[in-house]
Amino acid sequence: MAESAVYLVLALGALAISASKDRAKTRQALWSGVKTFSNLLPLLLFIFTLMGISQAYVSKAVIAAALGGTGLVRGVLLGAAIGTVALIAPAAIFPVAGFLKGYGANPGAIGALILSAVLIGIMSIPYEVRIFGWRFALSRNIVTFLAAVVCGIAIGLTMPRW
Amino acid sequence: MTDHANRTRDTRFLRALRDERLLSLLATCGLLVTIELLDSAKLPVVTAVVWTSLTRVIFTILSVMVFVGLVNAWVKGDAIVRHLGKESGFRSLIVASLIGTLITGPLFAVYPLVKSLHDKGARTAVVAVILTSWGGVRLPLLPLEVSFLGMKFTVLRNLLVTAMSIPVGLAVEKGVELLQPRETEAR
Repeated sequence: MAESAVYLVLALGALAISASKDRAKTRQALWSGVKTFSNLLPLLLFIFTLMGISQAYVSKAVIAAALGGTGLVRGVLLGAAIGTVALIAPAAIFPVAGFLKGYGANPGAIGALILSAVLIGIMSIPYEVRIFGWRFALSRNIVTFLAAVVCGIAIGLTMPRW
Repeated sequence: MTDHANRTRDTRFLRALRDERLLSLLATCGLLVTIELLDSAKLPVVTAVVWTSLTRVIFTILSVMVFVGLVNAWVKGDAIVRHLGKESGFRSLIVASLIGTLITGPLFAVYPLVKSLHDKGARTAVVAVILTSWGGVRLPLLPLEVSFLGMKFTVLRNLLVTAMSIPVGLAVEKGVELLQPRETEAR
């Protein structure tokens, strides 16, 4: 709670500085912030509901065994695989990751999950093919998956527990 | 006549389906109603998670949205990209990795922007480096990451992605070359 108060003060301070330099730009900034927020809120509600359902029906032991436990490489691979198919907005991935952390997932698996979720995303592949061509999209997504696994293992080795 | 009416109804339906907000709200209500009907004892557990999660993130997300809006208004992605178009060599990869962390914005805006850089002659590795550090490091979202996963994890993960973006970019470039048809095969 104290943290979020600090961020709120920082945000208001940044807004005040921006407004003192350029009113129109600040109004534009606020408007785009409001738009992003209203786009995000329903999605967050949905994701939190899914988290609530997991809490009600999935036992902690299942998640802890899958993404935590002793098998670092297995947890990281599973995390990267989940992140690849997860259709989660970047701003929503962190609450989900925090939820999994509370369920006993280890840092390496969470790291791999976040990276593959923000960098891959099954939904965006057709768009990537259209803009950059299939060779680039194929190459980038495969390399990125491997990189997410490598980073996950590196995080897990540096930081075995929270 | 009826065919035409059907078609307009179809497209309106499809457009509503594509509206992520409406879809999320409908899905949320659907899930909650299903639980209430099938297993109403569990409903308070679910709504408690929704409520505590929401109250926990709401102020952080509000501040984050202010940061996102300010960055969008003040930092001009195309100016940064134009500058990068003139760079070359390994230095361009380092600059690309730093610039990727500064660019914010949704995927559908960032992809065409970065593509324009490629059209101006930037190498494939530079494009892949920017996409990696843009996606992996989200400066305005840092408060969220710290709040849920802690400072140590956040610093570690963001430094790793920034460093990894360069080998990733080079590997992607190599991959594209390997997928390119051979000279003899191309007509």
